[in-house]
Amino acid sequence: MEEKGITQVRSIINPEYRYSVGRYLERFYQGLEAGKIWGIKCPRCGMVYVPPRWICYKCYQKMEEWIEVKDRGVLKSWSQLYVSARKNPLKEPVLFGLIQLDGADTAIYGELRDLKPEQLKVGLRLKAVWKKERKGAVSDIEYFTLEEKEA
Amino acid sequence: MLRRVGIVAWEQSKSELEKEEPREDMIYYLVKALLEKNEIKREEIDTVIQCSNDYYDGRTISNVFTVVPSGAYLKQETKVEQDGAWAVFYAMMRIASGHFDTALVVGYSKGSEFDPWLAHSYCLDPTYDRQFKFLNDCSCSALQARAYMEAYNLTPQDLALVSVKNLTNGAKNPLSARGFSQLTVEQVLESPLYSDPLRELMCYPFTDGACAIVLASEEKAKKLTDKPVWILGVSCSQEEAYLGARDLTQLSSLKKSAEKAYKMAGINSPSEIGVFEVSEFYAHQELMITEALGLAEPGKGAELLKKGDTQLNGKHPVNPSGGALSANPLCATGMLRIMEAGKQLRGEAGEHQVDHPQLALAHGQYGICAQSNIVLILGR
Amino acid sequence: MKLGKGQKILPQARGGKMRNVAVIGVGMTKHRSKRRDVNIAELVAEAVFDLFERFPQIPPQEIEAVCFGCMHTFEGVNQPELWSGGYIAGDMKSFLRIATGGTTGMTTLHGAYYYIASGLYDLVLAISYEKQSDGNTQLGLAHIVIPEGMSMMQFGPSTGMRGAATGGSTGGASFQAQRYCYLSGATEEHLAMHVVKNRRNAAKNPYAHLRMPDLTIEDVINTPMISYPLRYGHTCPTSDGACAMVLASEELAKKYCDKPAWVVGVASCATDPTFNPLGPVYTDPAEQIACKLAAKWAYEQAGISDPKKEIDYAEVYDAFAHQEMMWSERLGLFDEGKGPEMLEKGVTQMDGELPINASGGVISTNAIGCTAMVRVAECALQIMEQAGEHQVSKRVKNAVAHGWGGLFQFVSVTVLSESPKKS
Repeated sequence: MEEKGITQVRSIINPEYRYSVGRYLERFYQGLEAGKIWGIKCPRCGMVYVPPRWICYKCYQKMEEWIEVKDRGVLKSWSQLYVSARKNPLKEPVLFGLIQLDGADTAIYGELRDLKPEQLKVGLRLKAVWKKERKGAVSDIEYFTLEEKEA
Repeated sequence: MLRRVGIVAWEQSKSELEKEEPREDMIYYLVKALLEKNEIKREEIDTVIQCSNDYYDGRTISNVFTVVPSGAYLKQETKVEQDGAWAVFYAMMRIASGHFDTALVVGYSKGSEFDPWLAHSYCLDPTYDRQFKFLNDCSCSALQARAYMEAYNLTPQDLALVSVKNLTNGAKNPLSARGFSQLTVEQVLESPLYSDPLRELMCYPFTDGACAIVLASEEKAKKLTDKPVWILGVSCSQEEAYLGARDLTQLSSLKKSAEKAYKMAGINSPSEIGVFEVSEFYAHQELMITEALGLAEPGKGAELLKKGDTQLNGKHPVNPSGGALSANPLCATGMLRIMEAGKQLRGEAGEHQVDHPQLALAHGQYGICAQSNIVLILGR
Repeated sequence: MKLGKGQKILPQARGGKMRNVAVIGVGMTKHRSKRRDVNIAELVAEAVFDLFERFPQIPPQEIEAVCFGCMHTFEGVNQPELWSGGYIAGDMKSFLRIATGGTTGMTTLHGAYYYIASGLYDLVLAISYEKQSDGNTQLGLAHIVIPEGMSMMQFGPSTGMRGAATGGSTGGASFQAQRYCYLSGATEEHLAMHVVKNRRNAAKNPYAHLRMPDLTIEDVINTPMISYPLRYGHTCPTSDGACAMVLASEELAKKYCDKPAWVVGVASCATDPTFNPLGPVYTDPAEQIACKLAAKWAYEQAGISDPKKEIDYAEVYDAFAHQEMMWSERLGLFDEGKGPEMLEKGVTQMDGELPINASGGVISTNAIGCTAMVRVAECALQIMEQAGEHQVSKRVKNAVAHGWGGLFQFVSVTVLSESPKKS
C-alpha cells in the first residue's frame, strides 16, 4: 500500500460580519426603500456622488447638499460573469454593469436583464426596474433594462 | 534623499501553481539561499521588512510565524501589507535615513491555499459594493477592460496579443509558474471565459512563490557586491477606490507615480529606459500601463504592441520575464519585477535578456483595477 | 553612476547627520465599544478631522504621504486604506500600509517617521484605526493560530496553546501574568491597583473608552475569572477608534507648530512566537528580550543613557493588568521586580515622579490597530502641553511610548523629546 503524505488540511474561515453603513448610506438605503435614489453634492467642485458619502475625495470637503437623481441613465461599462470568485461555474451567467444615472457624476452597479449582450455599448440608455416589495437594500432595484423609446 | 540606496542581491523561489511546502519552509530556504549565495551573514542585516497579507495567509498577523524563517529574530522587523515593491520602497527609506545600512525584504504568498479573487473582493466597500454578488476581482477588472476597449475601439484580439507575448516570454523564464513555447491569439480566445472579455489566459494565474531582496547604503553596497543596482527614482500613488467614480479608461495613479519617478531619476522621457517590468494582473492592464508610463499615447498601447515595440527584441521591451500573467505570487510580484529589472541591468537574465539596458523600470500594483501603483527606476 | 538631475542630496548627508522629525499634530476619535453611527472610512475620517481642527496651522493639502495602519482581518475588509484614502485628504498621494499586530499603530508611526527621515518627504500623515464592532475580534485573534490549532487536533495540544485556544488573548496572556507575578511578587491586589489607577486616569481623558472615576480595588476583584490569574476586570476593552498624527521635517515643524514633540528614538524588535507548539523552544513570555533590545536601541538613538532618571513620562501597552508593571521594568524605567512597589508607592500616578499612562492606558481603551499609536500621541500631547485634564503635574521633557503584539513577541518603542536630537 502506498503511503500518502498529509500535506494540506482544509480550513474554512467564514465568520459573518455586520457592517455599520454610516449616516449617508443609511439615507441612501432608506431612499431605495421609498423608491428614490439619493445623491450628494460637493460644495466646492459640484460633483454629485451616487451613492452618497460624507467627504468629496477631490476637495476633502464635507458634503451636506442632498440631490435626488433619476432612476434612468447611461451605461458606462458592462460584463457578463460566468464564474464565481472561487472560479466555480455559475448556474446562469450574470450580465451587469456600471450605470451613470441622470444627475449623477458617478455610476452605480446594477444587473442588466431583458437585453442581449450584442445590444450593449457604452452610452446605451437604461432605466431601473424596481422590486414591488422593497426593504432598503441594493436589491430594491432589481435590474436595469433598455429605456423605452418615447412613442 | 539623504543617501543613495542600492540593491545588492536577490533570490526567488520558483513560482509554481502549487507548491507542497508550507510558507515557513519556502521562506526559510529562500532566505538561506540568498544569504549563502551572496556571502552575506544574517548578522549583517540591520532590518527586515516582510510583505504578506493576512487574507492570503488565512491568519491574522501573518508575520508571527515568519519572523524566524526570514532571519528576523532579534532584529528590527516590520511588515508592509501591500505589494512587495512597497516593502522595497520602505526598506529604501529606512536605509536612506541613515539609521540602517542594510535591509532584507521578503515577500510571499501561496495562491494555491486561498482564493485570490475572493480575498480581493474583500477590498470592496462592504457597505455597498460587496452587496452585489457579481463583483469580484475578475468581474471588476472586466468592467475596466470593457470601458477601456470601447473608449478606443479595441477588440479581444488586442488583449490576447498581450497574453501571447507574455506567456511565450514566460516559457523562456525557468522560474515562472507558466509559459507556452507556442501560443496563438486563437488559443487565448478559446480559453475559458470568466467575465467578458476576460478569459483564463488573459488573467493572472494563482501562484505560490516568494522573493527576497537585500538593499544597502551606497557605501555598504559597494562592499557587498561589485554590481550594485541603484534606485534612482521611486514614487507611488493611490487613486480613488470606487469604480463608479474612477475613469476606468486610464491608470491615473500610475501616470502620476511614473512622472514623479522620472523626475526624481532625472529622466525626460521613458524612451531613455531600456526595459520595463510591469505588473499586469490582466492582459488589458499592460496596454493601459504602457500608456500611463508614457510609452504610448492614450488608446495606442495596442498599436505599440502590434508594431512589436514591446517585444523582447523591440524598442521598449515590456515584461521579458513573462510578467504577472506568467507568475503572480501576490505580495512578491512587484519584487520579482524589481529583481528581473536588476537581472537585465546586470546582463544576467539568460534566455530572456534584452539588449544592453542602462536604465530599467519596475512597476508594482495592488487594489481592484490597479487602484494603487508604484514605480521604481533602477540603473547601474 | 552620475546622479539624476532630479535627485537632491540634502546638506545633512554630508557629515553623516540625520534628519530631525517632529510630531506637530494629533487627532483621535472618542473611543467607544460600538460606533454604529459611522462606517470604517468615516471613523478614520473623524480622527483626521479632529487633528486638523485641533491643529489648524497644518494645511491638509500639503500632506504628501499617508502611512496607514490597521489589522484588517478583524473587520473583514482587505486593505481598507484603499477605501479610506479619499476620506483623509489622501487622494492620489503616496501610501504605505503597515500591519504588525498589536504594535501596528506604532510601527505605522515609524513608517511615517522614515518617510521624512529618508529625506524624500517633509509632511506625512500617520493614521491607524480599529472598528471591532464591525467584526469579530476574538475570532480574528484565534485566526493567528488556526493552522496550528488544526494540527493540534491531529497531534494533541501543547500547554501554551491550550490557554490561547480556550481564553483567546487572555488565555495566552495568563501565562505571562503568572510568570511575571512569580518573578516580581506582584499580587492580585497589585493587578487591581493598576486597573484602578488607569481607569480613574481615563476619566480625565474624553477620548478614552472606560472612564471610571470611582473604580475601587474590590470592584475589579469581584469580576469573573477568565484564565488564572486574569479576571475580566484585568483585561482591556475592545474599542472602536482611530488615531491620527502628523509628522514634519524640522523646517516645516518650525513653520506649522509652536511646540512640536520631537521623535528622537525609534526602534522595534521581533522574537520567536511564544507558545510555538511546533517548535522545541519554550520562551519565557515574561522575559521579553525584544522589549529590552528595542528600548536599548531607541534610547541609544535618543542619546538617553539613564532612562530611570532621564525619562519623565511613559505610555506603555497595558492590555492586561500585570503588563504596565512588567513593561516599565523591561523598558528600564524601574529595576527588575520593582514594578509592584512603584505602583504601591504612587510613583506612576499622574502626580508621581514617573507618571505612566495618564491617558488611561490600554486597560481603558483598546482599538487594536491604533492603540500603539495612541501611546505615542499621548506622549506627544504631554510634551506639547496639550493633554488637557490629564496633563501630568511635572514638566515632560522626554517620554517613551511602547507597544507589543503578535504572540507576545513584537515590541516597538518610540522616544519623544521637547528638543530635537543634538547630533
